Amino acid sequence: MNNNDDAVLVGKLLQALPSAAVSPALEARILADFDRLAFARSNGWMAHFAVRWGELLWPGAPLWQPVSLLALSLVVGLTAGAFVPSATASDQSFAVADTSSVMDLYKDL
Amino acid sequence: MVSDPDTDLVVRVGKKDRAAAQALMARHLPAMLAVARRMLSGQAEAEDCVQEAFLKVWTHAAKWQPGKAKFETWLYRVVLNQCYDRLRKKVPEPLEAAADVPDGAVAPDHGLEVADIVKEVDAALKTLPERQRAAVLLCHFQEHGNNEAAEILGISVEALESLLARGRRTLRLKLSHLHASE
Repeated sequence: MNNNDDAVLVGKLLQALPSAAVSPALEARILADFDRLAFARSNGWMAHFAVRWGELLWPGAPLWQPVSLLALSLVVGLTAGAFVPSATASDQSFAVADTSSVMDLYKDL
Repeated sequence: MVSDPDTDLVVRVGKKDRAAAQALMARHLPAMLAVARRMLSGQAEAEDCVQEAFLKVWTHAAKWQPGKAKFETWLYRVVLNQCYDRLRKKVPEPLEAAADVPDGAVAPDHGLEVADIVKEVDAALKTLPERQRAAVLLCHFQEHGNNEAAEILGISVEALESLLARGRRTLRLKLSHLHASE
């Protein structure tokens, strides 16, 4: 068999392969990417920055998902900061006392 | 200057025109998905690959310089590069899986179903090195001319012909039982 015969044969065999069907879900995903970028471009650098970070943190997800996650973690952090008791004054004095005793070991060096 | 039927659409996409984005996607998505599907192993992976390629289109459309290159050629390159990246990241399949590809011996029953033929052709294609596979797909599956396929792959026409010859020969040997049974 020569090159032309191979070409004819391979052409015939590959024609048997069905084309991949394009799902509406894929089209929707691709257009959602377009909408996200268009939104970022028309809402200034803050939105652009948010979209870029959203894409890094949670690729393919709508922007509200990383934004809500970030907001939720901020609320949890602030709540914990406001309500969880901080170290007491006596704890702090222990820490200072510990430090000085440790430093005393090196006093004569 | 390259004449390009997509220039107007790409320029409009750069200006955030959603209808243009939809039209551009409708025009090119089926062909890009078909190539990605034959280059990669599954529909989901091919869809992810094509989605990433279109994300690049949306990102770069505003900076597109008409006349510099044909949009379709550039898009094919993006899709194929995405495919190469994914193929390189992939762990090689075990040898047992490769052994499923027929070696050209005549099958016990010649009455192969269309689905079996598709499966065998697909499996044989997957055994080709990635550049040969891309060359064969562009010329035989997508029916591009040698000049255009060479441009997409960024190689000379002679190099493309060499890739094609090797790819076709391998496929003919792997699939000889199919044409023997015709």
